Amino acid sequence: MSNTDKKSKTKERLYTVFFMFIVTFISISALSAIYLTTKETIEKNKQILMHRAILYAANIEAPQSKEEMEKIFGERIKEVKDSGGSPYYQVLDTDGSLKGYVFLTVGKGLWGKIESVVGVDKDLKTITGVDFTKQDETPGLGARIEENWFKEQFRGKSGSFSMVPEKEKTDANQFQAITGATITSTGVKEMLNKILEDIPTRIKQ
Amino acid sequence: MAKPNAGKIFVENLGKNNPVFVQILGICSTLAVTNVFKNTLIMCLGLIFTTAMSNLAIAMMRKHIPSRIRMMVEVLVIAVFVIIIDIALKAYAPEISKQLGPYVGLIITNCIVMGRTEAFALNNPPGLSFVDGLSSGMGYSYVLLSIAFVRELLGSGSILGHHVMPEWWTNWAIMVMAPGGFFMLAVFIWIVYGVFLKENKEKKEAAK
Repeated sequence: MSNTDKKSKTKERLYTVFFMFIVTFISISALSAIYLTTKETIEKNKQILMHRAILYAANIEAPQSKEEMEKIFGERIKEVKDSGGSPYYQVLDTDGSLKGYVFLTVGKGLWGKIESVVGVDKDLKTITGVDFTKQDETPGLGARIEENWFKEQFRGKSGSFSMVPEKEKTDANQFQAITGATITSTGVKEMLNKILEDIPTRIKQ
Repeated sequence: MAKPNAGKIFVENLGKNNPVFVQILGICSTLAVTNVFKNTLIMCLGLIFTTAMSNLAIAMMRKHIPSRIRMMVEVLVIAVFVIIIDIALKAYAPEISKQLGPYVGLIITNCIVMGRTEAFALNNPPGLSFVDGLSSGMGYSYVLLSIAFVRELLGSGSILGHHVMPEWWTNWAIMVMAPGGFFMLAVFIWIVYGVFLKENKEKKEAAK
């Protein structure tokens, strides 16, 4: 009697393991299939976002359509590597002459990294544009760094930056911080000051 | 439980059995995502899809799941559907996916999804479970959307990102932060209990 009891218990346990295995197997297969079929689209989307950000930082107007945007990107932006091997971008004028540079950089936000794209003029000081490609800041507060008024205010300014409260007048080295998002704003400020300091050394090689 | 009926379940999950203001489930996301209306909307659609589909899947397997590992299976099934949403957003709506960031993944931990599979789908046929999941998700959604509407209006002075408040309006920063969510949820529950559910209570007492 106790022997058959034991046997059915073992059977039950085996069934449990087997069941979990099967469910997991099916789930993972389904997800892998979906992942593989969409992988290319996702990579492409990421690339498009990045190219748009670089054009924005270079202050070159990007058309809505992907193909036209990529065409302009190909004509006006050239990827180069600095002595450390990390890439940055040369911005070319319509006649092919060098107009400025675009750098990728990372700042510290409240919740995580703020990945950004910073464009400078040929003088290596004047900012042509700033865009943010990845940030996990609080929606409605820190995440407002993606709003146009915030990004646009950097064009034509040069460091080293300090902050003034939202909606106040700014000098050539000041920008309006976001109310309620001091840590995020400070992170952006420090990131910009750092990259502006680094740019000359990275280009000289 | 009385004999379940699809229409009744549907209405009850929206009203007197509402997951947010009656069962007080899913509060974490209520606080976190309701400061911008658009994010809330996407979150809600994601949640409706997840509750409905995971309820359906669990109900179909319910007779075969060993009770000892039922929770593992539930979480696994829920996670699969959430990852599908995440991948779909990344592939076909990259802008929205970028804005939502980690929130989509948070649907996995939303207590409503697990609560419904555990309390309902394990004991009911697939069709009914699907209706239950769908309506639970919708009950959650309209509460969140109304909270988000007020929070974005007062906190950012806008509706769906369009500025609507006059120049002299000062944004209430607290509405955008987590405490604003607490206040709004409490006010919402207060109003609902004071105005709607009160009548039910009185009726019940009169019937006694």
